[in-house]
Amino acid sequence: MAGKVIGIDLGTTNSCVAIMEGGDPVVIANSEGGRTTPSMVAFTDSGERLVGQVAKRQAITNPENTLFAIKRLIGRKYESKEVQEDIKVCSYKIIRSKTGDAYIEVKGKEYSPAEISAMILQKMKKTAEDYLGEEVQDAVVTVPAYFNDSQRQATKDAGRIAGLNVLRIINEPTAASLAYGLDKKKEEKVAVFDLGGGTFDISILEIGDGVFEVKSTNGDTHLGGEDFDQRVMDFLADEFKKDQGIDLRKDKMALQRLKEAAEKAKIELSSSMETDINLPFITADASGPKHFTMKLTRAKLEILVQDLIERTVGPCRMAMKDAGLSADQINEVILVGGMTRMPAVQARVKELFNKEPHRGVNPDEVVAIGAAIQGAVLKGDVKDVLLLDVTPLSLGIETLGGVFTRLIEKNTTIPTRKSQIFSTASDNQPSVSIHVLQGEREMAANNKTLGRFELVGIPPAPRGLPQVEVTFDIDANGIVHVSAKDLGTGKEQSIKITASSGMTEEEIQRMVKDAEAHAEEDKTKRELIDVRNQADSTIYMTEKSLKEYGDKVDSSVKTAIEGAISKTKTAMEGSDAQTIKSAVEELQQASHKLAEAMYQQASTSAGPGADAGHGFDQSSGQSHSGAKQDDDVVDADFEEVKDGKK
Amino acid sequence: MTESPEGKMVNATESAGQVQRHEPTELVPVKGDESSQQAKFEESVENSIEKALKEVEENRDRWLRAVADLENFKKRSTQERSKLLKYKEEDLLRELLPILDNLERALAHAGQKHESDPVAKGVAMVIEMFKEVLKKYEVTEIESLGKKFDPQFHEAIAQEPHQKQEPNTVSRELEKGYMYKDRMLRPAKVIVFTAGK
Repeated sequence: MAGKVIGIDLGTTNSCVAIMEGGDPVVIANSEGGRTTPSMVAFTDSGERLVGQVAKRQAITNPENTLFAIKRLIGRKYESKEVQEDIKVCSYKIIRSKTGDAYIEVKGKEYSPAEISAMILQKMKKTAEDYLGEEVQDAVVTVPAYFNDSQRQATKDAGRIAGLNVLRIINEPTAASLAYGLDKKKEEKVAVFDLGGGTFDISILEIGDGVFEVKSTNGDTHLGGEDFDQRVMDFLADEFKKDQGIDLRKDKMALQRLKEAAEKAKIELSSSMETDINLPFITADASGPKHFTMKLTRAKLEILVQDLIERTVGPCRMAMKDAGLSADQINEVILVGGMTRMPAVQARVKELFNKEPHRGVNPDEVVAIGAAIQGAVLKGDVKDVLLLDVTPLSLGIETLGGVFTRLIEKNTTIPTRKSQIFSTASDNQPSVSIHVLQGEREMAANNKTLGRFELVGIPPAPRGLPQVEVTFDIDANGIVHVSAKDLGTGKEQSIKITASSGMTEEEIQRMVKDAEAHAEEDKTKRELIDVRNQADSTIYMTEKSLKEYGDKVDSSVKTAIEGAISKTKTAMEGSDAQTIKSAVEELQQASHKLAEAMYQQASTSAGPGADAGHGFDQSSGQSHSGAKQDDDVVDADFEEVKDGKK
Repeated sequence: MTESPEGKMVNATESAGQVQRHEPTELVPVKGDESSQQAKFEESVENSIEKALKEVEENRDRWLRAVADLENFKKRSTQERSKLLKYKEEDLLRELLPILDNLERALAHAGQKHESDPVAKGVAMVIEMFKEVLKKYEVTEIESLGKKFDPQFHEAIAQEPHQKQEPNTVSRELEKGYMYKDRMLRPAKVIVFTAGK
C-alpha cells in the first residue's frame, strides 16, 4: 500500500494524531499549534461547522449545538443505562434513531455519533496531510478495551465517513504497550493505568509473542484531571472567602482566572515542592481592589486530592482479581493520561503494583504513538527495519604530545567515513605512526588501543609540509578500517580492526563516566600540550627565519630574538601553560623586527618565497597553499615512534 | 562396422562412404544420470540468478525509498525550522501577557484620578513601555468589544441577556486577545450578548 499510515487516539475529551517518521513516532500538531485537539464539534447559526479548539471557545454561547464526549454514545443503544444517564446532564439533544441507536439532533437534523466522530477524525486527517504535504488514506484508530463489537464497528464507520481506510481498530492499553516496546518481550502481564481528563481506566493485558489479550478492565467513568482542578479551585476560593470575605465564585472573570491558576499550580507542583499563586486585582469592593496571593505546597495539594487518588485503588484491585493475578504476578505497569504526571499518583501506582511504573513517553500522546507504530507494522515498514548501530565510543589517533585526536565522535551512526589531513612533527621525518585508539579521554594513554601501523617512505621535507590523509571507515558490520595515505607520493597503508573488541555495556558506560570525571584535568593537560606544540612551532619557524635573515638585522634584534627563544625553551620544560604562552608572545614580538627586515629585503631584491616566518603560519612555501585552504588541516602532528617505544 | 544404406556390410577401414547428413529430428530429451544432474545444476544456477536479481531490484527500491524519505525529511525539517524561527518568541510573549493584564487592571482601578496620582501615572507609563515592546515584536491587539462574536479569535466565558444590542456580539471584554504576526497568541476572553428575547 502506498502512502503513510497515521495513528489516531480518538479520546472522549481530546484526540491526538501521530505518524512514524524515519523509524520514530512523531506527534503532529494541528493548525492552531496544539498537539492534541479537543474532541468537540459545533454547528453555528451561520451554518458553519467548527471542530476542535474553535468549537470549545464558543461552547457557552451555543450549548445545544456544541457536541462533546460523543465517545460516550458511539455504538450504544438509546435505551442503554449509560446513554440515559448522559441525557440527564447533556446540553445537547440525544434522540432515538429508527434502529434504536443513540443519535444526536442538531438544528432539526439527525446525526449518528459515528458521523460526529467522523468530523473529528477528518480534522486529524487534515492535520496529518498538512504536515506531510500528501494525502493520507490509511489509519489505525484506538478504542477503550471494554468497547463491544457495535462500538468498535461504529468507530470504524466513523473512519470510513471521514475518508479513512481504517486498517485496524486497536485497544488503547495495547497501543500504550506498543509505545513502550513491550510487544518485543516474550511473555508479559501488563497493567495500563489511564487517568485522563475525565475518565479513569485500568486494563490488565497479557502479551505473548506479539499477541495482546485483554484479561480484565475496570475504571471510573467520572474521575479525571478536571476533578483535581476543581478541588484546588474550591480550596483557593474558600481561602479567599475566609481571608477577605468575598466569594470569587460569583464573579465570572475571577472564577476564570482562579480556574487557570488552579490548573497551572497543579501542573507546577508536579515538578516543584511549592508554588506561588498570584492574582492581583482579582476583584474589588467598596474599599478598593483586592489581591489574592498564596503559597501552595505539594503536600497540601496531595491532601486536597487524596480521596480522588484513592478512588483509583478499588478498580485496580478488582481488575487484578478478575484477571486472577496478584500485584507481583504483573510484570509491567504503564502510565497513560496527563494526570499520571502527578508524583502522588505515581507513588500510589507504585504501591499498588509493587513496582515502578513505566514513564518516559508523554502520557497524553502515548496512545496515538502506539497507534502510529501499529500502523507502520501493518504497512510493512517495520518488518524491514534497518537497525543501525552506533559507535559506542569515539575513535581517533594519537598525535603530537600524546594527545587523542578524535576522528569519529561517539554515538555516530554507522556505516560512516571520516578523513582528516595530518602532517609530520619533525624535519625529514620519514614515516608516520598511526596509533588507533578508542575512548573519551583527552590523552591517548588513557584510551584503549585498537591497533597500530606505520606509513613509511615519506620523502624528506620540512616538518608540517607533507600531507597525510588519515581515513576512518566503519562498515555496516562495525568493522573499522583505518588508512593513511601520503597525498604527495600516493603511498598508502591501512589496517582492519574487527569491532567486537569485547567491550561490555558496563565498560562503555564506565569509560564515558570516567571521561566526564576527568574532563577538567584532561582539558588542562591538553591545553598545556597544545601550548607547548605551538611554542615549538614558533621556535622552529623563528630559528629558520633567523638563519636566513639574521644577518640583515641589527645584532641587538638578533640577540633579543635569541633570548626570547631560549626563554621559551625554558618555559616549555615547565608545566605552566601561562608562562609558555607569554614567552611565545614575547618571541613573536621580538621576531616582528625580523619580519620587517625580511619585507624590506623582499622589496629591494626579488627574494623568492620570502614569507613571514613567525607566528603559527604553516605556509612556508607555495606547496602549502592547498593545505592552507583545507579546513581539515590540523596542526596536531605525529610523534615519530621509534621501535621499542610503547 | 557400418551398414551401408543398401544393407551391405562394408569394412569401415577399407572405404569410408560419404558422410550422410541427416536432417535434425526433434530434440530427444537427454537421459542418463549425469545429464539430469547437469539440468538440475543449470536450473539452480538460473534460480540463484533470478533470486539475486530480484534481491537487487528490492534493494534498489529500498535504497531509493530511503533516499526519498531522507529528502522529504530534509524538506520538512527546513520548513519546521523556518517556522520555529519565525515564531521563536511565541512562548515567551504569551507568558508575559498576564503581566500586562495586571498592569492594566491596576490602572483601571486608579480610574479617573490617574492624571493626578503620580503612582497611577507611572503605571500608565510602564504600560506604554510594555506596549512598545509588544509592537516591536509584531504583537497586535484583537478587537472584540462590540464586534460580532467570532470563536476564531474570541473565547466566550459567559452570556448576558441583551436589551437593545445586537445578539451574538461581544458585550464585555474580560481579557484582551493578541495576535503574534499572523498567528493568534491568545484569544480574547469575552462575554457575549445572547440572541433572543
